[in-house]
Amino acid sequence: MNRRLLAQGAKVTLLSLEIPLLSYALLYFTHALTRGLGPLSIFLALTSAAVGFAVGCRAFWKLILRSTS
Amino acid sequence: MNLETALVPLLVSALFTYTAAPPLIKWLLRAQITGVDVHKPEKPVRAEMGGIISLIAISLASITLALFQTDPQVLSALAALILVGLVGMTDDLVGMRQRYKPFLLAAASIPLVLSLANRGSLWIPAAGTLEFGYIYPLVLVPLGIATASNLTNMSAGFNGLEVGTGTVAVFSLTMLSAYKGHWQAALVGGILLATFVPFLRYNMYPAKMFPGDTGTLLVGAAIATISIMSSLEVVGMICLMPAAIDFTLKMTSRRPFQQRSAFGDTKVSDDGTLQPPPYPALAHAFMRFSSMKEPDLVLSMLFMQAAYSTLGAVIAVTFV
Repeated sequence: MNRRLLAQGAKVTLLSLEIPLLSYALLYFTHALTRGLGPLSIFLALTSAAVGFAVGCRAFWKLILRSTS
Repeated sequence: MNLETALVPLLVSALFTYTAAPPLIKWLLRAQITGVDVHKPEKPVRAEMGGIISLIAISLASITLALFQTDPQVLSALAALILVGLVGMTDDLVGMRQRYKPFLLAAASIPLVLSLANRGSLWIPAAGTLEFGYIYPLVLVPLGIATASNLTNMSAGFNGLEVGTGTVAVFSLTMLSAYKGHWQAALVGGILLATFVPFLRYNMYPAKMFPGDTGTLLVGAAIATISIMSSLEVVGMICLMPAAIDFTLKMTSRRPFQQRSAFGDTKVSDDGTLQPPPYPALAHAFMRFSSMKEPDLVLSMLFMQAAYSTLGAVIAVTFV
């Protein structure tokens, strides 16, 4: 793999890392805040993680558009 | 089962894939089970449904394992993978409505569900162990197999991408399973690697055959199966992250499921350089950064897959 490709792969990978990080942060904090609610807490945590993932993906695409325009 | 006997199904799987691929390609072309390689300027016609070779290789490896009276969980996992491959084959041959596929894929996971009936918890780093009880085998396992298969199926489209990313993910999961002492999962992973690696020889740029839905669904199911068997579900999720990002990008765009008809395909110039259509997708993100040809794009995406697989491995080794 040449250096240009490696740099490119690394750039997109680094930008994409915000998606799982945001998703995981929401999962962690929602679960921590709603721990007393039992199974509902898991449901809320997973839902917020899914929303975080979708929001993260939109932000990722906007970052791509901004850095390539 | 000792190491020597575990190596036999691996050899069977690898040798079959390597030797049977050339005649299979000829047969698929003769039977007109073909697809157009749209990312080449000359648009050549190539053999489709090549994943059938991995399906047969896994079946032969399962028969070999059954002769050695191996662990039933290994056979259950391989049976589930064969069923997923059969769903893909049906899709390749007769075309299946998208809405039926997840249900059939979930049904294909039944052998694995039965072998994991006693398990009920899922571990998430820093959040701890979440107790799901009977929901884990009855809902989460089929959901995991169906979701993973569909994710890899939807992120396909370039020479060597689907099987390449699958090979990287399965390799890291197999190594982790062996490191953690989950030998059944490592054996399943070994059998899959033994068929995926020789398959890549015929699927990498310039591809002689495409995996088809048979292969792409199998790749996702393979990642899910190994991670579930070794209780490394979180690592499996991290390995599937590039495919999940691609799927979510496509779904959050203006016309999900209709982007290709609305915006058109990736354009290919005479020198093979790719020009992305305007809708969001992971491959298009790479193409937007600089002009690149198909092999460059696939290598960049394999790098990303390797980065996520390494991240998953680091988390598993550090926290679990």
